[in-house]
Amino acid sequence: MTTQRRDLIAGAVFAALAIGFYRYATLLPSRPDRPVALNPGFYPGLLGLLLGVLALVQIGQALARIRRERGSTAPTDPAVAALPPVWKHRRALETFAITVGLLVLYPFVLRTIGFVPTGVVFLGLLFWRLSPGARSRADVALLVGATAGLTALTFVVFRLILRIPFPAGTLFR
Amino acid sequence: MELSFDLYLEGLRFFSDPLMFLFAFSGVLVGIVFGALPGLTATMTIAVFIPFTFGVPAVQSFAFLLGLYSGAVYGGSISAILINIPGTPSAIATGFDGYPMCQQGRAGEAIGIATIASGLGGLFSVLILALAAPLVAMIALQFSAEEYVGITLIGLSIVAIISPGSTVKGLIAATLGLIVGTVGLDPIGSAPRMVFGRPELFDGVSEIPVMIGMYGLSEMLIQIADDQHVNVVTQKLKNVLPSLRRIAKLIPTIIRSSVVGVAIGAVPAAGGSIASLVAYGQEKRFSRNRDRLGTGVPEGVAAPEAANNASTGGALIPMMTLGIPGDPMTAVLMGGLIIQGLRPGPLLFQEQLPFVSSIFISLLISVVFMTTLGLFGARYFSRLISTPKRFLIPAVLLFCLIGSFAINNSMFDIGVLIAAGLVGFVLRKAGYPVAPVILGLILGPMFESNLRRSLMLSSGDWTTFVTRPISLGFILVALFILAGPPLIAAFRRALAAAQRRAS
Repeated sequence: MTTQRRDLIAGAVFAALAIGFYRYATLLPSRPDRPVALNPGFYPGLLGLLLGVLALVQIGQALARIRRERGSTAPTDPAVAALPPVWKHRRALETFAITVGLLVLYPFVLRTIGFVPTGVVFLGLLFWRLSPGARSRADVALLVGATAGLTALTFVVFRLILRIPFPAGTLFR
Repeated sequence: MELSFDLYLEGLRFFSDPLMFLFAFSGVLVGIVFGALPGLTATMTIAVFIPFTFGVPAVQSFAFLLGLYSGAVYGGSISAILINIPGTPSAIATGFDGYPMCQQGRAGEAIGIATIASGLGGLFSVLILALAAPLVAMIALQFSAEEYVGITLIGLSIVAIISPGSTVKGLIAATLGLIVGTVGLDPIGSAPRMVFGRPELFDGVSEIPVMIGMYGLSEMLIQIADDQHVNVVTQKLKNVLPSLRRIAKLIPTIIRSSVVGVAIGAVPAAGGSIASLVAYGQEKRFSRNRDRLGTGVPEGVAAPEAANNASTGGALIPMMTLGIPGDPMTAVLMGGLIIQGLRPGPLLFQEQLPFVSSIFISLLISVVFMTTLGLFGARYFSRLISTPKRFLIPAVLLFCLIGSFAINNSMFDIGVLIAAGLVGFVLRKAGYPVAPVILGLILGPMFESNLRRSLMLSSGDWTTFVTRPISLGFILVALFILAGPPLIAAFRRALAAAQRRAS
């Protein structure tokens, strides 16, 4: 994908968002007998309009660049025009998906098994995933040590010193 | 409000408690460590560590956070010099000459110069902050809602134009932040807006999880997606402590750059990275060694480092006196103030004078700790650069999760963090800066209240913003910031075309 096409798509997304937000602002309760600025939808409506105008400007700029490029006889440097891929390679995409999955699951697991076990699971899995070459006994010992050490550190700082009331875990009640 | 020397003495009593020094020292230490690690920016460091200050009195919490701020800005120079990758964006220019010095086997000397320049720049900025902030606060007390609307517009305009990418993208990002700032009860009539029946949203979206998500989580997700690895070859550091003669030679550079740093830092939404680049550019004009800049000359290290550390105090001026953050780092610091129940602005100087005074002293102590730690601990900090990403990324992610929960002991805030992190990831990958989003979110409620209050008092008459001279001045400045660069460029093009035709 080129930067122009990306900007065009992003502009369209923001234009849709602006329409939706402006529509939402008009649905907020308003009274005609008082100054417009007092209505709760006044300011969101302004922001919706502003976002819409900016999105249209961006779409216009992207279209102008595309038109200029088509009209130009000079060859476009593909290295400049093309965007770098979102994921460097397939493994990076998988690691990203695993990380987001772990992040989303964290609060649920925290509620179920409590602070320390959740930390161990979260860190252990991520350390392991991010260390593809770690197969020797020394590597595994390092990963286990890092998991235990960091979990202990967070427990001491947040639970013992700052006294944050993390859930004890419904499983162990 | 009257200005007197008592302002500077009020906060001294807090420092009879050794804990204040401990907090400042820990902040500087952690700041240097995180600042030195490539990919962990100073803003991210402050955002991730704010939750560590919960339950701690405001003065101690700020001693820690200001230590982090100074330490992280300085720490960025270590990796810029050793591996030519700035630990923080404000150290970009430090590598221009610092890395060539390292390649010549003079890494220790470069780090020593960076440390001294950072320390002197930092001291200068504390002095200016302590002198200028009370004066600005006194003037700001005269401002009405219209003027605050103008100042907010200036802040948002600057952050939009200086952010990477186009101005339109910066403005879109700022508008997104303003939109997120509308979530919660309407500040005038208390009508709920975009709360979706969630009581957690009645007070608005919690700012700290959004900051941690946008800066911390999204940065880690980007590093995972890009699978970034840095091959680090560190060298043994020698001659870290520069001679007095060497320092004396650099004094003109340090003074010039410190002035630039404070001035640029004080401009709402500008910050250390611009300050360091401008200071480096200034050396190219004024330095005795200007022809050799870029080949490894000490002036090329001293100038950006003095400037970016001088910008720290400068950036605190608009944040403390007007409630407008000077850069993304002070935006996050402002979040730290707000969760302590303190609202930055001119009234802070009237109602919380001892606290304000303690900020000046804490920053001064942080600068002293930073210089000492930098000079005597450089060889240890340089080893940290080789810390593998496979350990850093999970650790930062866990801090993000725990820190977000700890703000209100709420699982909902973890959801906000993850949403903000994913949105930040998408925005950054699509070429949109995240700093304007944060600034929009922070300034949004203040902007809305002042805008609507002005319009209510003027019975809906929009000319109220241009009939008051100061407000008109602010709005013209904001318009010039946005429209000035393209207009000047168009004028230059037209002039060049006319000259070509004439010749």
